[in-house]
Amino acid sequence: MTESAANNGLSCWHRLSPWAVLFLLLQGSLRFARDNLPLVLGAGAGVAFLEQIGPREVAIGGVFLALLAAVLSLRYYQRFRFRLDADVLVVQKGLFERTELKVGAERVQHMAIDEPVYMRPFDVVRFSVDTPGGKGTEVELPGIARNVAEALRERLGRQQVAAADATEASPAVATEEVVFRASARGLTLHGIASNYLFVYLAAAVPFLQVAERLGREHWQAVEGFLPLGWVVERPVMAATLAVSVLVSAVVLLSLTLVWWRFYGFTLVQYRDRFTQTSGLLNRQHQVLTLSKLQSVEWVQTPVGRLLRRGFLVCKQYGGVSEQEERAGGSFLVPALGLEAGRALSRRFWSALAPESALSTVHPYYRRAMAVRFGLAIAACAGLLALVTGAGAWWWLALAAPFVAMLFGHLRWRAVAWCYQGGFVQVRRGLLGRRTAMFPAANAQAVTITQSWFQRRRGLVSLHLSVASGPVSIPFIPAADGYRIANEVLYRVEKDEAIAGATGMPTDSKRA
Amino acid sequence: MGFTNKPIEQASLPAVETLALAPVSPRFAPYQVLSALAQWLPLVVLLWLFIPFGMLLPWVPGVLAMLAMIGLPLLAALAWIEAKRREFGLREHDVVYRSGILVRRTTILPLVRIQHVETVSGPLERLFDLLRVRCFTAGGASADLVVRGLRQEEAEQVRQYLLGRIREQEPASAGGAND
Repeated sequence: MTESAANNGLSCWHRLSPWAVLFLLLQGSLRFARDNLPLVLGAGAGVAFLEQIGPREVAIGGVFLALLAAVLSLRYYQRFRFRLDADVLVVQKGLFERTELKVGAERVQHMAIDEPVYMRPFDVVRFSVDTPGGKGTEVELPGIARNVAEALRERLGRQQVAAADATEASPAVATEEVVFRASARGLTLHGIASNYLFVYLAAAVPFLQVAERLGREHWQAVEGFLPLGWVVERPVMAATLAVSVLVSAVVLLSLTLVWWRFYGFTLVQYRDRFTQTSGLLNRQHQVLTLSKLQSVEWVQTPVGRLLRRGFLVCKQYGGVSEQEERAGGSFLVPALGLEAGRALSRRFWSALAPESALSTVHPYYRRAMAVRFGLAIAACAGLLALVTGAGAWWWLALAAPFVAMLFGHLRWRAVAWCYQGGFVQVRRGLLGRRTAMFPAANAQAVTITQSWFQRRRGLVSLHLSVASGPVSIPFIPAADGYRIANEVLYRVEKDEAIAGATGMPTDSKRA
Repeated sequence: MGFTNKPIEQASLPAVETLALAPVSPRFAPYQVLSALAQWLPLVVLLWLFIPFGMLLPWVPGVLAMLAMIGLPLLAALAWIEAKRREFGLREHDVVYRSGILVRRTTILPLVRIQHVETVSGPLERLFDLLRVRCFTAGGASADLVVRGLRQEEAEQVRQYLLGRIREQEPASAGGAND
């Protein structure tokens, strides 16, 4: 079936590809294994339970579960159908409960086509659509023919391009243009700089428990394999070697995952629409419409700052956690150098001057942070000392002021802000940096807070709610805080008043 | 029409800092006091029922009673003062709400950003003829602004006004606002 034929046939009901049954089964099994892995490996309760009931019973249980999953997947496939009614995607699904979902093309803020490696031989892909109201993926078609998915993307995206053409702010890129392509060096540096190194280290902790148990059980074999005598003689060198091996393994894992996720990353712009394609085995196509873009974040991890690397996160309606960001939950552009990051930000909003002349907040913020953090440490340490009776906790309580001062200083140095040309930029962090950038007219609400301490010193904290999440500028002079608040409100209310008068729907109201 | 970016005359902008707001209903203060005390009631009952006072040191019940005698009136007084300092205002293009004693919080929500408005009241609020107005914007899971301390009639008027303004702002092609 050609794409145009698929395009024309979209108004009829379609079923998922028959291969989707297999994929649903596989996907469900992987999800089950992933969700229960910490229980089995982490606390050890799962392992103990499995040992208790015996391997034959475990195998029978496994076969029964697999059969049940196969039947449920088949039933899900039978009840799943979709079609395009004019510009509305209609999906009917549900195992025990019939659900009908309708998503209008004008409400689509994000579309993605995934091609996992096991789907590729069958030319089947996974198609998903997000809307501004949804916290996660609103509609997912878990296994459809590639040409149908591309036709769907084309039809749903056409409405957005037409809306962008109606606004004068849309950039004049009339033909497809490759905006950014991640190089091998860039991806490698991105992997080294990734914050996920620490997450991997934390995830490795449960495995240590299992390794220790296995080591105790097979002590003789371990003794023959490792030069334990040498380890006892040179403990410092052995510990250094062990840490080096562990760090190298984690870096290697991080690199593998970055290459897996972002291999061949290409960002293409066509009018108001940015499309990114990436993935080594699991090819992913994500679409971002500029009119739905709420804010952009320039992120640098501590290692990334040393390497002068970072990545951009393009945020639309609805907040996404930092874990979801990296897992593909938002539109992320990796492997950027400082200049490339700035240039790309300017491509989203040409009047934006990224990270230009950021001002630090008042030094009282440093003191406030140190006091809060110091009190929290001292209280925890004091409580632990009283409960456990161990004197070591009192030493921690005594050290709290020094740790708190360092924390306060690092926090204060990280926080900076700028309001220029109608754009707000706010940087935060501790050792790493995250700079949020957005047009003032994208603000949803403005809050000004002033504690008794701030009142005495003529300071305020300004909180701007953006549809992608809140942004705060703490401890700035009251005059500046009120000036920005008044101007942000003016821009929001004036823009919308003009749009209302001309009958032109603005994006915030379309949401 | 080309893109323009003219500077804005700061002095001509409406100022939030000098805005005069109206206090919320006088009935909100007694409600707030009762509400604050009611939060501690379950703890007091639990302590009374489950702590065998005979097993404690002889001075502990006295200290607890003294803490309650000082703490509860203090709590009530703070709740009363806080309620008296809550203010609310409707401007041509936004809703403004101010609250807090030690930390003063002023929230301004542009009317054009409101997607959904609802009114809520608990049993204690109904006893005092009070209603909460909750305003939601796009992208947020919880309400962006909760106006507490309005009389039922006043809250209904505010809700109707906000819904009316939302309908006015809606483009002709779009559907009406939710309520």
